[in-house]
Amino acid sequence: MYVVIAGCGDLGRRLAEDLSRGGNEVVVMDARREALEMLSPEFGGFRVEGDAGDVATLQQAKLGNAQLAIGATDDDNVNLFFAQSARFVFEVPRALIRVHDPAREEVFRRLGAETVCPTSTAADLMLSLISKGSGRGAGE
Amino acid sequence: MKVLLAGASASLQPLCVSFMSKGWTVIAVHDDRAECEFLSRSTRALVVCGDPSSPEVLDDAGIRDADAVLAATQRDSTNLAICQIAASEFGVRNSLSIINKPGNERVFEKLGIRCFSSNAAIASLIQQMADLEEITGIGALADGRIQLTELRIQPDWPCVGVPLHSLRMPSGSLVAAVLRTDKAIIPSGSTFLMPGDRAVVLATAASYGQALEKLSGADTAKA
Repeated sequence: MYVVIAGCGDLGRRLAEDLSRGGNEVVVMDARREALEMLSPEFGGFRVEGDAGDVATLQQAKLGNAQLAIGATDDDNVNLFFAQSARFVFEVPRALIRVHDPAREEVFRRLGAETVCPTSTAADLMLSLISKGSGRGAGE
Repeated sequence: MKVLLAGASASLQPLCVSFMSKGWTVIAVHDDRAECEFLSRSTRALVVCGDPSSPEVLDDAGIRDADAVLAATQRDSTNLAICQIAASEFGVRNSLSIINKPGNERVFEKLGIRCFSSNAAIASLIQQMADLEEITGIGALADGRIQLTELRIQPDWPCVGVPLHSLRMPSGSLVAAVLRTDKAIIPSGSTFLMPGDRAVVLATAASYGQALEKLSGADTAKA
């Protein structure tokens, strides 16, 4: 699978390395060269230095060939821009984005984006752990 | 008609003045506190300080009542989020965006958002300013409540040749001084303006737009 990942922070880098190890063709883009240099030496994919909020960078990453686009920059709006560009301009079948702000996540989802919100996910998980009452002092 | 202007980093003041001179009610949302204070002092816009791409901030600012939204931040991704949120969450029919990076128009057009490149917009703004042969803001007094502006009087302006007392400047405004070639004149009611004069206008923030209109004709204050 050809995968384009926007953002090479902790999440983007982890996904890039795992997907590349899993035999996928991966392109990672980030405006910060230092971030791209943090990728492990075993990473077998491509690096594109540039802003994911700029169509020129998306073209450089050959987004039109991708089967999957992943928006993992730190900026929720850039991730939305990336997903919408991927789906509507480059006709990528699937786009997944991280959205930090829970309020914005709901809105972006209603716009048709497939979203993951770390805050909501962690909160749900913690609440379910609390309600299970496992561990001393939890809940009771 | 009511427009919501969404900005970040760059000043929204010229846009505020431009819309207000056309009779629009303006809500300005900007993320910078100093800019918000400046806008409150120098325009009659309703100013809201906050992230203009936040649904909560837009809701609090009263976006539901807006007839149009103009996304004018310097990040196209932020502008896209603003326009999409305005349309889908708040049912705003007219959303318009400035494009900063050439090529990004494609994304907006695909999503049905009207947009124009900031290069083109800046060029037209400069053209308007050149047409006006510069309205120079000299400064603000009394904490921004009074604006001091210098205008170069154009031959086709309605104020040319009309004695100031017949001109009926809007209340709260005054032609305070006239610079003609190398003479400085403190005008009386019988003084009239001539093409090429530089008129120093003193006006409260509220009557600033009307004063410029009075001197230069209806289409001013765009710049």
